[in-house]
Amino acid sequence: MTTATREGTLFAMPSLGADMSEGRITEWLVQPGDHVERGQIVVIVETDKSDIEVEVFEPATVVELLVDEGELVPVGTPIARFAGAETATSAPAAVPPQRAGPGATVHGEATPVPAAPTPTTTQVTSPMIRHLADELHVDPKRIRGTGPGGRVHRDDVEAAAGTTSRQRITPRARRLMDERGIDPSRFAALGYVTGDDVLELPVESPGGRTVESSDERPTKAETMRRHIAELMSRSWAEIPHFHLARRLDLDLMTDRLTEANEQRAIADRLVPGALLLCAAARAAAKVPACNGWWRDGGFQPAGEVRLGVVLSLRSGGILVPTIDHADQLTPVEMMQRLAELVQRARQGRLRASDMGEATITVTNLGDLGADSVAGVIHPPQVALVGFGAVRDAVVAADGLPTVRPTVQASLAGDHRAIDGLTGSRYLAQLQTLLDGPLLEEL
Amino acid sequence: MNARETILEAIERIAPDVDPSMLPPDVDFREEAELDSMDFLGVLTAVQEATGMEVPETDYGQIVTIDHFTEYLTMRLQPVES
Repeated sequence: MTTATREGTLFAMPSLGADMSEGRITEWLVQPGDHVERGQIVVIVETDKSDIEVEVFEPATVVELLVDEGELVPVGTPIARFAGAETATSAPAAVPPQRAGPGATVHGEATPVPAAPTPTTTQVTSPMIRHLADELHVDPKRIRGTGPGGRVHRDDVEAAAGTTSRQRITPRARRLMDERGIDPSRFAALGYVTGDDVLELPVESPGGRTVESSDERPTKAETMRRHIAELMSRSWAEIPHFHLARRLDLDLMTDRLTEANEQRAIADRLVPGALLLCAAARAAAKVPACNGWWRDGGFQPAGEVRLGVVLSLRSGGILVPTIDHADQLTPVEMMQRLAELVQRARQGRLRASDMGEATITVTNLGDLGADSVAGVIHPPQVALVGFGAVRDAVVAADGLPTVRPTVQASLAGDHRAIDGLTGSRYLAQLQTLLDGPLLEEL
Repeated sequence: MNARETILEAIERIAPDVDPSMLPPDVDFREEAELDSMDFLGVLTAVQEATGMEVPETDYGQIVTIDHFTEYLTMRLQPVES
């Protein structure tokens, strides 16, 4: 049914996380007249934490884009008009259709276009590169990429800005310089600069990360830092934390994993972290007192497990996307979800569906991390689970010292909601899961 | 595409925030690019997709630097390409 009406469903700026009040349209990926399929990403929204890809949950036709790229609008503001969709977005702040006439399907021809910007495909894929281009006042569209597939590198941006430096600084070296306040020009004589080169120099201004920005708008890293600071301060001020730790014996898990990985194609191989996340999610289902929120002076159990996963970004800061029904995923499924999440986080582009509210959060320091972590809870959750690096350690087995792969698991608990015994049961559950039930699924 | 380009492209694909041209060819690239085990597995997957070459876990010690990885890949790919 084609009706010449401009009515339809209003697609609203979604709420992507409990603390989001506004979002900026970074890029429209559709134009009026386009038909969109369920799950298609239609717009990139910049929040304080990350660029987020917002998908639609019903097939529809785009009638009109109501907000231009670059504009900042409050959550709930209509940003586009769609036709043929029951609900344009599953996000909580979706605006119900205003007088959507019956069968108000509008096709491409009935689209008075409000000077909508045309989405362009640029080769600038990395937010870091885009940020650099921004800083050097270079139009990303004018940069010629010399990387594989025409991708734009840091060098290309600098070349375009006329500030070419032929220094090659590794990510680790760049991070160490930032942390230690060391100026890159100190290494002008070197072709490549590695982390070890930086470590050889004395620290110039301790703790001196002097991020200077000419913009009035704070950089993404600054905003993210401010958010982490605010959340963690609130947690530490409000939540009476207690910390428990238990060393998990990963002997059986490691053997089984090595065996299973030998049989698998590379793409299907699992890392220990995926199993640890599975165990953390299933233990939360078994000990529901750890899985939920402290609200209005009482504990509110969550009923399902939506696992928050702390991902560290190389550029500094963390993102905490969530995995729905994490307790029901097999290790293989968990590995896939994790790989996708990490990749999206690295590109600075999470999806709206990654931003649900966590019921419990896990921080896994990974194989580059420290031995153990005593974490800070993400309010209003009541527990945070931590895993250190998997390491060989001397453990007692059958009364004899023996070397086995181990990991230090920890639980930070909100003492208003749970006690040491509950927390201990949670940690014991991890060992039980890693010794049997999970391994059978490999 | 030669073996080295394949590896560099794989690194860039898995870690878009890393510019592989910044990595010296003779150091531990996982350490310098700060790739964790998940990233590393991703790199191997991308290399496998491009070349069909499976690197078993037991060979991880032979592919620590980009030079060694290139050599490893070139040697193993030669009989196929002839």
